[in-house]
Amino acid sequence: MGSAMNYIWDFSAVWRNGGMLLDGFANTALLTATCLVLALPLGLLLALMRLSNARPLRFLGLAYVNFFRAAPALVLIVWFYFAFPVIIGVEMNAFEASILAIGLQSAAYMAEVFRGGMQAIRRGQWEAARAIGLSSADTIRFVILPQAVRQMIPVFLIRFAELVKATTLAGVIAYGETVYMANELSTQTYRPLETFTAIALLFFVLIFGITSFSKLLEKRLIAGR
Amino acid sequence: MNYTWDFTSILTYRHLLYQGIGGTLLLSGVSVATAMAIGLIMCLLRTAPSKAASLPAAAFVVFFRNIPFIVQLFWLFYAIPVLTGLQAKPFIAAYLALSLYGGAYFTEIFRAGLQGVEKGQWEAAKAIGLGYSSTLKQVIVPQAIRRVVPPLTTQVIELIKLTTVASSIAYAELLYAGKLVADQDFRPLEAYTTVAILLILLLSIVSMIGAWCESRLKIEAR
Repeated sequence: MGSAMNYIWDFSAVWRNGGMLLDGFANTALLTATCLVLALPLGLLLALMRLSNARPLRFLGLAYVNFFRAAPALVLIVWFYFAFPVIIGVEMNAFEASILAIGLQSAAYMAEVFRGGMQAIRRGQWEAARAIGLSSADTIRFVILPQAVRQMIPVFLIRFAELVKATTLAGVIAYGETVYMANELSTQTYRPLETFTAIALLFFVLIFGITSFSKLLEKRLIAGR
Repeated sequence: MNYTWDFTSILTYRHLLYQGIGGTLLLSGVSVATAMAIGLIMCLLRTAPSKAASLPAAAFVVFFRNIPFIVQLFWLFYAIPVLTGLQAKPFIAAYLALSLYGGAYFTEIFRAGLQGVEKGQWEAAKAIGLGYSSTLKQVIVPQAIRRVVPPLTTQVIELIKLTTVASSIAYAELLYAGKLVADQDFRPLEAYTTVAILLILLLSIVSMIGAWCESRLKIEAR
């Protein structure tokens, strides 16, 4: 028990090497943004498939969403890094494998956000659009999506926070994001506890910020109804 | 595309995978149980009328849900030796991290379940002279359980999925076993595909158990 009292916290090594952690955060941001660029359009496409009248499309969309939501994120990352290149015969770096694994999984979650948002729009809106002669593509584009997106934003932000969390797993295959850099810094400075305390606080501020903003918007949406 | 799949190395080293399955089941089992216990206690504190009880519980939830799991895992892994003077065992660190992280999510699920029961139920129980604990036990909880099972199943599955992250501190669960097998014969495709299939099978079983509980608890089914 004595050692707990005797431990002297020393953040100076973390401050001195703060640049490494900043590099890590830049890579976290880059990976998050790239995954989002993949996940948003794919998620919308999957949601439209799931809401489509064509049975094969509905089935494919459902199978995709169920599979990627069932698979553990880290297993996907490791699989895309070590196993997938064997099938396609092309080497993949840690960044590319992480984009595929996290981006494709995030698309499955985003699909459910889009689908939930569009289904929440009252039936009358579909019927009214039809009555004035809009095609179903135009109905989605001009009537349903503009209303759905507004309602989706709070849930989308929660999913975005989950995406940021998921990118921290890319460090396991040596992509230089924040956790990977923190491990590197720890071995250099022998101050793992301080290093991980620092990045835990940074992540907390970021993710808590996002989830709080989501709650605020949700309250406003309910109040505005 | 000319690759020929060859699962003989998987069969040769299957004992490693068996150990991996054992590791995953053990870590999942104890972590889920502990996380639920933490969730129940924190939920009671969180919903207590006294601010001295509810504020720390609220802080617990906010803290553990808003930091990436792997960061908490590494933090604990490094903090255990400092706090106890003992060498950190991967299992202990993973177990603690999963229990705390899961506990924060379970707290909110239980709370939503309790608060989802109409206010009138409390008032009616009070009117017929039930005390706080008997109201909770005989009126509120039986109704809350029904609402809680679906999100609870989802969260148990999320927690089992997170056990794979323990491989990063060299705890011998399934993903770690897959890495060992892949390194033996340089057959990563077969090794990691097998691991993925085994994990998805395990998670499907959990999901079926959840669905079974849900159908058992339905009022119409009785």
